Amino acid sequence: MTNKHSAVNWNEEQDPYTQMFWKQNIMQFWIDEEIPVSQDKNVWMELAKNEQETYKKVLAGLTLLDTKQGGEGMPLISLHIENLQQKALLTFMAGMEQIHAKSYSTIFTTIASNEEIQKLFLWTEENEYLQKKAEMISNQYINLWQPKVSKEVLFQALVASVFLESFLFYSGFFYPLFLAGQGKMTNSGEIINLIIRDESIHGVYVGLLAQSIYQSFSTEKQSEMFAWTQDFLDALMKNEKKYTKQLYDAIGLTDEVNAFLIYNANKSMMNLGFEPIYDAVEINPIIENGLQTNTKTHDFFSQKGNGYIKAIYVEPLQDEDFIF
Amino acid sequence: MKVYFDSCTGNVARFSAHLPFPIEKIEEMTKSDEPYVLITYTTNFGQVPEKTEKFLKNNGHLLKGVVASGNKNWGTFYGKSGDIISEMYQVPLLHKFELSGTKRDQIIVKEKIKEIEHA
Repeated sequence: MTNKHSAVNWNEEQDPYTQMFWKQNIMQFWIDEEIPVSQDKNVWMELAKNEQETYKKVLAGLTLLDTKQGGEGMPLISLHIENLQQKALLTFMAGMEQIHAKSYSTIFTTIASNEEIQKLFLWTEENEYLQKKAEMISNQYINLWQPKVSKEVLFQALVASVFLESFLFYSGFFYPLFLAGQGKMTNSGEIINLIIRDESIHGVYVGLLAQSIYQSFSTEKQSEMFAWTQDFLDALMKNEKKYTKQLYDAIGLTDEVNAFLIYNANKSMMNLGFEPIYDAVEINPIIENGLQTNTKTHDFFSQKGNGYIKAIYVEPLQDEDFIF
Repeated sequence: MKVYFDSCTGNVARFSAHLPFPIEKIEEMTKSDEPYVLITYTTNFGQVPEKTEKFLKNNGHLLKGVVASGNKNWGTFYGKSGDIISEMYQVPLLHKFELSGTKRDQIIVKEKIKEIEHA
Protein backbone atom coordinates (compact mmCIF):
# COMPACT_ATOMS: atom_id res chain seq x y z
CA MET A 1 0.00 0.00 0.00
CA THR A 2 1.43 3.37 -0.97
CA ASN A 3 -1.28 5.69 0.32
CA LYS A 4 -2.91 5.80 3.69
CA HIS A 5 -6.69 5.81 3.37
CA SER A 6 -8.42 7.91 6.03
CA ALA A 7 -11.96 7.73 7.40
CA VAL A 8 -13.98 10.80 8.35
CA ASN A 9 -14.13 11.35 12.12
CA TRP A 10 -17.05 13.48 13.28
CA ASN A 11 -16.10 13.17 16.94
CA GLU A 12 -13.58 15.97 16.73
CA GLU A 13 -13.91 19.58 15.59
CA GLN A 14 -11.68 19.90 12.54
CA ASP A 15 -12.43 23.58 11.93
CA PRO A 16 -14.56 26.16 13.77
CA TYR A 17 -17.60 26.08 11.49
CA THR A 18 -18.16 22.88 9.48
CA GLN A 19 -20.09 20.98 12.18
CA MET A 20 -22.32 24.03 12.72
CA PHE A 21 -23.00 24.26 8.95
CA TRP A 22 -23.67 20.53 8.79
CA LYS A 23 -26.36 20.87 11.48
CA GLN A 24 -27.89 23.86 9.73
CA ASN A 25 -27.97 21.98 6.42
CA ILE A 26 -29.67 18.98 8.02
CA MET A 27 -32.23 21.15 9.80
CA GLN A 28 -33.28 22.88 6.61
CA PHE A 29 -33.41 19.68 4.53
CA TRP A 30 -36.54 19.39 2.40
CA ILE A 31 -37.85 17.62 -0.67
CA ASP A 32 -39.94 19.00 -3.50
CA GLU A 33 -42.93 16.68 -3.03
CA GLU A 34 -43.60 18.22 0.40
CA ILE A 35 -44.91 21.43 -1.15
CA PRO A 36 -48.40 21.41 -2.67
CA VAL A 37 -47.53 23.27 -5.90
CA SER A 38 -50.61 22.00 -7.71
CA GLN A 39 -52.61 24.54 -5.69
CA ASP A 40 -51.03 27.24 -7.88
CA LYS A 41 -52.89 25.96 -10.93
CA ASN A 42 -55.79 28.46 -10.75
CA VAL A 43 -53.53 31.47 -10.35
CA TRP A 44 -51.38 30.21 -13.20
CA MET A 45 -54.36 30.21 -15.57
CA GLU A 46 -54.93 33.88 -14.80
CA LEU A 47 -51.40 34.99 -15.74
CA ALA A 48 -50.92 36.61 -19.15
CA LYS A 49 -49.19 34.56 -21.86
CA ASN A 50 -45.96 36.59 -21.72
CA GLU A 51 -45.91 36.35 -17.92
CA GLN A 52 -46.25 32.57 -18.15
CA GLU A 53 -43.50 32.49 -20.76
CA THR A 54 -41.03 34.40 -18.56
CA TYR A 55 -41.93 32.29 -15.53
CA LYS A 56 -41.31 29.02 -17.33
CA LYS A 57 -38.05 30.21 -18.86
CA VAL A 58 -36.56 31.49 -15.62
CA LEU A 59 -37.28 28.13 -14.02
CA ALA A 60 -35.74 26.25 -16.93
CA GLY A 61 -32.64 28.46 -16.66
CA LEU A 62 -32.43 27.80 -12.93
CA THR A 63 -32.68 24.07 -13.61
CA LEU A 64 -29.56 24.25 -15.76
CA LEU A 65 -27.61 26.13 -13.08
CA ASP A 66 -28.59 23.69 -10.33
CA THR A 67 -27.72 20.78 -12.61
CA LYS A 68 -24.23 22.25 -13.09
CA GLN A 69 -23.76 22.91 -9.40
CA GLY A 70 -24.94 19.46 -8.30
CA GLY A 71 -23.19 17.48 -11.01
CA GLU A 72 -19.97 19.45 -11.52
CA GLY A 73 -19.40 22.28 -9.07
CA MET A 74 -19.81 20.67 -5.69
CA PRO A 75 -18.39 17.21 -6.57
CA LEU A 76 -15.30 18.61 -8.32
CA ILE A 77 -14.62 21.08 -5.53
CA SER A 78 -15.02 18.38 -2.88
CA LEU A 79 -12.49 16.23 -4.78
CA HIS A 80 -9.79 18.77 -3.89
CA ILE A 81 -10.82 19.65 -0.36
CA GLU A 82 -8.68 17.54 1.97
CA ASN A 83 -10.58 18.04 5.23
CA LEU A 84 -12.93 15.06 5.33
CA GLN A 85 -15.77 16.79 7.18
CA GLN A 86 -15.68 19.66 4.70
CA LYS A 87 -15.67 17.15 1.86
CA ALA A 88 -18.71 15.42 3.36
CA LEU A 89 -20.63 18.67 3.68
CA LEU A 90 -19.88 19.67 0.09
CA THR A 91 -21.24 16.37 -1.20
CA PHE A 92 -24.37 16.79 0.94
CA MET A 93 -24.81 20.21 -0.66
CA ALA A 94 -24.36 18.58 -4.08
CA GLY A 95 -27.32 16.34 -3.24
CA MET A 96 -29.43 19.37 -2.28
CA GLU A 97 -28.58 21.00 -5.61
CA GLN A 98 -30.08 17.98 -7.34
CA ILE A 99 -33.23 18.34 -5.22
CA HIS A 100 -33.41 21.98 -6.33
CA ALA A 101 -33.00 20.99 -9.98
CA LYS A 102 -35.73 18.38 -9.60
CA SER A 103 -38.09 20.75 -7.81
CA TYR A 104 -38.41 22.95 -10.91
CA SER A 105 -39.63 19.88 -12.77
CA THR A 106 -42.20 19.40 -10.00
CA ILE A 107 -43.44 22.95 -10.64
CA PHE A 108 -43.47 22.29 -14.41
CA THR A 109 -45.78 19.33 -13.83
CA THR A 110 -48.42 21.79 -12.63
CA ILE A 111 -47.89 24.59 -15.13
CA ALA A 112 -46.81 23.04 -18.42
CA SER A 113 -47.71 20.20 -20.78
CA ASN A 114 -45.16 17.51 -21.65
CA GLU A 115 -44.64 19.10 -25.03
CA GLU A 116 -44.03 22.52 -23.48
CA ILE A 117 -41.61 21.03 -20.98
CA GLN A 118 -39.59 19.41 -23.76
CA LYS A 119 -39.47 22.74 -25.60
CA LEU A 120 -38.24 24.49 -22.46
CA PHE A 121 -35.33 22.12 -22.05
CA LEU A 122 -34.44 22.61 -25.71
CA TRP A 123 -34.58 26.36 -25.09
CA THR A 124 -31.98 26.08 -22.31
CA GLU A 125 -29.62 24.40 -24.76
CA GLU A 126 -30.14 27.03 -27.43
CA ASN A 127 -30.23 30.24 -25.40
CA GLU A 128 -27.00 32.12 -26.08
CA TYR A 129 -26.71 33.96 -22.75
CA LEU A 130 -27.77 31.07 -20.56
CA GLN A 131 -25.26 28.84 -22.33
CA LYS A 132 -22.55 31.46 -21.93
CA LYS A 133 -23.29 31.77 -18.21
CA ALA A 134 -23.11 27.98 -17.75
CA GLU A 135 -19.92 27.85 -19.83
CA MET A 136 -18.13 30.58 -17.86
CA ILE A 137 -18.82 28.83 -14.56
CA SER A 138 -18.25 25.34 -15.89
CA ASN A 139 -14.82 26.34 -17.23
CA GLN A 140 -13.67 27.03 -13.69
CA TYR A 141 -15.06 23.70 -12.49
CA ILE A 142 -13.58 21.66 -15.32
CA ASN A 143 -10.11 22.98 -14.40
CA LEU A 144 -10.50 20.80 -11.30
CA TRP A 145 -10.87 17.64 -13.38
CA GLN A 146 -7.38 16.35 -12.61
CA PRO A 147 -5.72 14.59 -9.67
CA LYS A 148 -3.86 17.63 -8.35
CA VAL A 149 -4.56 21.33 -8.78
CA SER A 150 -2.89 24.55 -7.62
CA LYS A 151 -4.40 26.65 -4.82
CA GLU A 152 -5.17 29.37 -7.38
CA VAL A 153 -7.25 27.05 -9.53
CA LEU A 154 -9.15 25.80 -6.50
CA PHE A 155 -9.73 29.37 -5.30
CA GLN A 156 -11.07 30.37 -8.71
CA ALA A 157 -13.49 27.44 -8.72
CA LEU A 158 -14.69 28.39 -5.22
CA VAL A 159 -15.25 31.96 -6.41
CA ALA A 160 -17.21 30.66 -9.41
CA SER A 161 -19.33 28.57 -7.02
CA VAL A 162 -20.12 31.55 -4.79
CA PHE A 163 -20.97 33.74 -7.79
CA LEU A 164 -23.26 31.03 -9.14
CA GLU A 165 -25.12 30.47 -5.89
CA SER A 166 -25.15 33.99 -4.44
CA PHE A 167 -25.51 36.02 -7.64
CA LEU A 168 -26.33 34.23 -10.91
CA PHE A 169 -29.41 32.45 -9.61
CA TYR A 170 -31.12 35.73 -8.80
CA SER A 171 -32.15 36.80 -12.31
CA GLY A 172 -34.20 33.61 -12.16
CA PHE A 173 -35.41 33.92 -8.57
CA PHE A 174 -36.65 37.46 -9.22
CA TYR A 175 -39.89 36.62 -11.01
CA PRO A 176 -41.21 33.89 -8.68
CA LEU A 177 -40.41 36.19 -5.73
CA PHE A 178 -42.03 39.16 -7.45
CA LEU A 179 -45.26 37.18 -7.97
CA ALA A 180 -45.21 35.58 -4.50
CA GLY A 181 -44.70 39.07 -3.05
CA GLN A 182 -48.08 39.94 -4.56
CA GLY A 183 -49.72 36.75 -3.33
CA LYS A 184 -49.45 34.90 -6.66
CA MET A 185 -47.96 31.42 -7.27
CA THR A 186 -47.21 31.25 -3.57
CA ASN A 187 -46.66 27.49 -3.30
CA SER A 188 -44.10 27.53 -6.07
CA GLY A 189 -42.78 30.64 -4.33
CA GLU A 190 -42.32 28.57 -1.21
CA ILE A 191 -40.11 26.13 -3.12
CA ILE A 192 -38.08 29.09 -4.36
CA ASN A 193 -37.77 30.35 -0.77
CA LEU A 194 -36.49 26.96 0.37
CA ILE A 195 -33.96 26.92 -2.45
CA ILE A 196 -32.84 30.46 -1.57
CA ARG A 197 -32.23 29.47 2.06
CA ASP A 198 -30.05 26.60 0.88
CA GLU A 199 -28.16 28.75 -1.62
CA SER A 200 -27.61 31.32 1.13
CA ILE A 201 -25.82 28.91 3.47
CA HIS A 202 -23.97 27.27 0.57
CA GLY A 203 -22.69 30.69 -0.49
CA VAL A 204 -21.49 31.52 3.01
CA TYR A 205 -19.83 28.13 3.50
CA VAL A 206 -18.05 27.94 0.15
CA GLY A 207 -17.13 31.59 0.66
CA LEU A 208 -15.41 30.67 3.93
CA LEU A 209 -13.40 27.93 2.18
CA ALA A 210 -12.39 30.49 -0.46
CA GLN A 211 -11.38 33.00 2.23
CA SER A 212 -9.14 30.52 4.01
CA ILE A 213 -7.26 29.81 0.77
CA TYR A 214 -7.08 33.53 -0.04
CA GLN A 215 -5.52 34.25 3.35
CA SER A 216 -2.78 31.72 2.61
CA PHE A 217 -1.72 33.65 -0.53
CA SER A 218 1.14 36.17 -0.58
CA THR A 219 0.08 39.84 -0.78
CA GLU A 220 1.05 39.85 -4.42
CA LYS A 221 -0.97 36.75 -5.21
CA GLN A 222 -3.89 38.19 -3.25
CA SER A 223 -4.07 41.30 -5.42
CA GLU A 224 -3.77 39.20 -8.55
CA MET A 225 -6.63 36.94 -7.41
CA PHE A 226 -8.73 39.89 -6.28
CA ALA A 227 -8.35 41.54 -9.69
CA TRP A 228 -9.32 38.28 -11.35
CA THR A 229 -12.39 38.01 -9.10
CA GLN A 230 -13.54 41.53 -9.99
CA ASP A 231 -13.03 40.98 -13.71
CA PHE A 232 -14.85 37.67 -13.55
CA LEU A 233 -17.79 39.27 -11.74
CA ASP A 234 -17.92 42.10 -14.28
CA ALA A 235 -17.91 39.65 -17.18
CA LEU A 236 -20.70 37.61 -15.58
CA MET A 237 -22.69 40.79 -14.90
CA LYS A 238 -22.39 41.90 -18.52
CA ASN A 239 -23.82 38.61 -19.73
CA GLU A 240 -26.42 38.56 -16.96
CA LYS A 241 -27.83 41.92 -18.07
CA LYS A 242 -28.30 40.62 -21.60
CA TYR A 243 -30.02 37.49 -20.29
CA THR A 244 -32.24 39.65 -18.09
CA LYS A 245 -33.21 41.96 -20.93
CA GLN A 246 -34.17 39.03 -23.10
CA LEU A 247 -36.38 37.50 -20.41
CA TYR A 248 -37.87 40.51 -18.71
CA ASP A 249 -38.35 43.19 -21.44
CA ALA A 250 -41.61 41.55 -22.46
CA ILE A 251 -43.11 42.06 -18.99
CA GLY A 252 -41.46 45.44 -18.33
CA LEU A 253 -39.33 44.41 -15.34
CA THR A 254 -35.78 44.62 -16.73
CA ASP A 255 -34.72 47.64 -14.62
CA GLU A 256 -36.01 46.09 -11.41
CA VAL A 257 -34.17 42.83 -12.13
CA ASN A 258 -30.95 44.70 -12.95
CA ALA A 259 -31.09 46.40 -9.55
CA PHE A 260 -31.60 43.00 -7.92
CA LEU A 261 -28.55 41.69 -9.79
CA ILE A 262 -26.36 44.47 -8.39
CA TYR A 263 -27.73 43.90 -4.89
CA ASN A 264 -26.92 40.18 -5.02
CA ALA A 265 -23.55 40.60 -6.75
CA ASN A 266 -22.55 42.80 -3.81
CA LYS A 267 -23.70 40.13 -1.37
CA SER A 268 -21.70 37.48 -3.21
CA MET A 269 -18.58 39.65 -2.78
CA MET A 270 -19.31 39.84 0.96
CA ASN A 271 -19.55 36.04 1.09
CA LEU A 272 -16.02 35.97 -0.30
CA GLY A 273 -14.88 38.32 2.47
CA PHE A 274 -14.54 41.32 0.12
CA GLU A 275 -16.19 44.74 0.16
CA PRO A 276 -19.17 45.12 -2.20
CA ILE A 277 -17.90 46.49 -5.52
CA TYR A 278 -21.04 48.11 -6.91
CA ASP A 279 -22.89 51.09 -5.41
CA ALA A 280 -25.35 49.83 -2.82
CA VAL A 281 -28.88 49.18 -4.08
CA GLU A 282 -31.92 48.72 -1.84
CA ILE A 283 -33.97 45.56 -2.22
CA ASN A 284 -37.32 45.94 -4.01
CA PRO A 285 -40.10 45.90 -1.35
CA ILE A 286 -42.23 43.46 -3.37
CA ILE A 287 -39.27 41.06 -3.51
CA GLU A 288 -38.71 41.50 0.21
CA ASN A 289 -42.34 40.63 0.69
CA GLY A 290 -41.87 37.59 -1.56
CA LEU A 291 -39.09 36.41 0.75
CA GLN A 292 -41.45 36.59 3.72
CA THR A 293 -44.15 34.24 2.53
CA ASN A 294 -44.25 31.89 5.47
CA THR A 295 -45.77 28.54 4.91
CA LYS A 296 -49.47 28.05 4.52
CA THR A 297 -48.94 24.34 5.03
CA HIS A 298 -48.92 23.17 8.61
CA ASP A 299 -50.14 19.63 8.17
CA PHE A 300 -47.11 17.84 9.53
CA PHE A 301 -48.17 14.36 8.45
CA SER A 302 -48.82 14.89 4.78
CA GLN A 303 -47.20 17.94 3.31
CA LYS A 304 -45.02 20.55 4.84
CA GLY A 305 -43.91 23.99 3.82
CA ASN A 306 -41.00 26.28 4.56
CA GLY A 307 -42.14 26.62 8.18
CA TYR A 308 -41.07 23.05 8.72
CA ILE A 309 -37.82 22.46 10.55
CA LYS A 310 -36.32 19.00 10.71
CA ALA A 311 -36.11 17.88 14.31
CA ILE A 312 -32.56 16.84 15.07
CA TYR A 313 -32.47 17.19 18.83
CA VAL A 314 -34.85 14.35 19.59
CA GLU A 315 -34.86 13.16 23.20
CA PRO A 316 -36.68 10.04 24.39
CA LEU A 317 -39.65 10.70 26.70
CA GLN A 318 -39.02 9.99 30.39
CA ASP A 319 -41.45 9.36 33.25
CA GLU A 320 -40.24 12.67 34.72
CA ASP A 321 -41.59 14.52 31.72
CA PHE A 322 -45.09 13.84 33.01
CA ILE A 323 -44.58 15.41 36.41
CA PHE A 324 -46.10 18.86 36.03
CA MET B 1 -18.64 53.79 23.59
CA LYS B 2 -17.27 50.28 23.82
CA VAL B 3 -18.53 47.84 21.19
CA TYR B 4 -18.58 44.09 21.79
CA PHE B 5 -19.20 41.85 18.80
CA ASP B 6 -19.81 38.18 18.11
CA SER B 7 -18.79 36.77 14.75
CA CYS B 8 -18.74 33.29 13.25
CA THR B 9 -18.17 33.76 9.53
CA GLY B 10 -16.24 37.02 9.82
CA ASN B 11 -19.07 39.28 8.55
CA VAL B 12 -19.72 41.06 11.87
CA ALA B 13 -15.97 41.26 12.55
CA ARG B 14 -15.43 43.02 9.21
CA PHE B 15 -18.34 45.38 9.85
CA SER B 16 -17.19 46.24 13.38
CA ALA B 17 -13.64 46.98 12.24
CA HIS B 18 -15.00 49.99 10.28
CA LEU B 19 -16.43 51.66 13.39
CA PRO B 20 -14.60 54.51 15.16
CA PHE B 21 -15.06 52.91 18.60
CA PRO B 22 -13.01 50.50 20.69
CA ILE B 23 -14.15 47.01 19.66
CA GLU B 24 -13.71 43.62 21.28
CA LYS B 25 -14.69 40.15 20.14
CA ILE B 26 -16.73 38.12 22.60
CA GLU B 27 -14.95 35.06 23.89
CA GLU B 28 -16.17 32.31 26.20
CA MET B 29 -15.54 34.21 29.47
CA THR B 30 -15.59 37.86 28.32
CA LYS B 31 -16.55 40.21 31.16
CA SER B 32 -17.41 43.87 30.65
CA ASP B 33 -16.95 46.57 33.30
CA GLU B 34 -18.44 49.47 31.32
CA PRO B 35 -21.61 50.22 29.31
CA TYR B 36 -21.44 48.90 25.73
CA VAL B 37 -23.24 48.28 22.45
CA LEU B 38 -23.45 44.73 21.13
CA ILE B 39 -23.22 43.71 17.48
CA THR B 40 -24.12 40.12 16.77
CA TYR B 41 -25.37 37.82 14.02
CA THR B 42 -28.41 35.59 13.56
CA THR B 43 -28.12 31.83 13.44
CA ASN B 44 -30.17 28.66 13.09
CA PHE B 45 -33.75 29.81 12.30
CA GLY B 46 -33.69 33.40 13.52
CA GLN B 47 -31.89 32.71 16.79
CA VAL B 48 -29.34 34.39 19.02
CA PRO B 49 -25.86 32.76 18.84
CA GLU B 50 -24.95 30.70 21.91
CA LYS B 51 -21.83 32.68 22.72
CA THR B 52 -23.82 35.92 22.61
CA GLU B 53 -26.46 34.46 24.93
CA LYS B 54 -23.83 33.43 27.43
CA PHE B 55 -22.12 36.80 27.25
CA LEU B 56 -25.42 38.60 27.86
CA LYS B 57 -26.23 36.41 30.84
CA ASN B 58 -23.07 37.68 32.50
CA ASN B 59 -23.01 41.21 31.13
CA GLY B 60 -26.59 42.06 30.11
CA HIS B 61 -27.00 44.73 32.78
CA LEU B 62 -24.49 47.00 31.02
CA LEU B 63 -26.00 46.60 27.52
CA LYS B 64 -27.13 49.93 26.01
CA GLY B 65 -28.18 48.91 22.51
CA VAL B 66 -27.97 46.08 20.00
CA VAL B 67 -27.17 45.81 16.28
CA ALA B 68 -27.85 42.59 14.34
CA SER B 69 -26.51 41.15 11.13
CA GLY B 70 -28.58 38.79 9.00
CA ASN B 71 -29.70 38.00 5.48
CA LYS B 72 -33.02 39.13 3.98
CA ASN B 73 -33.13 35.80 2.18
CA TRP B 74 -34.40 34.48 5.51
CA GLY B 75 -37.60 36.55 5.32
CA THR B 76 -39.13 37.11 8.75
CA PHE B 77 -36.06 35.59 10.42
CA TYR B 78 -33.89 38.42 9.07
CA GLY B 79 -31.64 39.75 11.85
CA LYS B 80 -34.11 38.40 14.39
CA SER B 81 -31.50 37.95 17.09
CA GLY B 82 -31.56 41.76 17.34
CA ASP B 83 -35.32 41.82 18.03
CA ILE B 84 -35.00 39.06 20.62
CA ILE B 85 -32.15 40.72 22.51
CA SER B 86 -33.80 44.15 22.33
CA GLU B 87 -36.94 42.75 23.95
CA MET B 88 -35.21 40.56 26.52
CA TYR B 89 -32.89 43.27 27.80
CA GLN B 90 -35.16 46.26 27.11
CA VAL B 91 -32.59 48.12 25.01
CA PRO B 92 -33.10 49.80 21.63
CA LEU B 93 -32.46 47.80 18.46
CA LEU B 94 -30.18 50.31 16.75
CA HIS B 95 -29.97 48.75 13.29
CA LYS B 96 -30.02 45.60 11.20
CA PHE B 97 -27.70 45.01 8.27
CA GLU B 98 -27.08 42.24 5.77
CA LEU B 99 -23.91 40.12 5.95
CA SER B 100 -20.96 42.49 6.45
CA GLY B 101 -23.04 45.59 5.71
CA THR B 102 -22.67 48.53 3.33
CA LYS B 103 -21.05 51.94 3.85
CA ARG B 104 -24.51 53.31 4.60
CA ASP B 105 -24.98 50.74 7.35
CA GLN B 106 -21.66 51.80 8.88
CA ILE B 107 -22.76 55.46 8.94
CA ILE B 108 -26.13 54.65 10.51
CA VAL B 109 -24.62 52.51 13.25
CA LYS B 110 -21.92 55.08 13.96
CA GLU B 111 -24.53 57.82 14.40
CA LYS B 112 -26.84 55.72 16.54
CA ILE B 113 -24.02 54.78 18.89
CA LYS B 114 -23.02 58.44 19.16
CA GLU B 115 -26.62 59.31 20.07
CA ILE B 116 -26.45 56.81 22.93
CA GLU B 117 -23.15 58.27 24.10
CA HIS B 118 -24.73 61.72 24.30
CA ALA B 119 -28.00 60.62 25.84
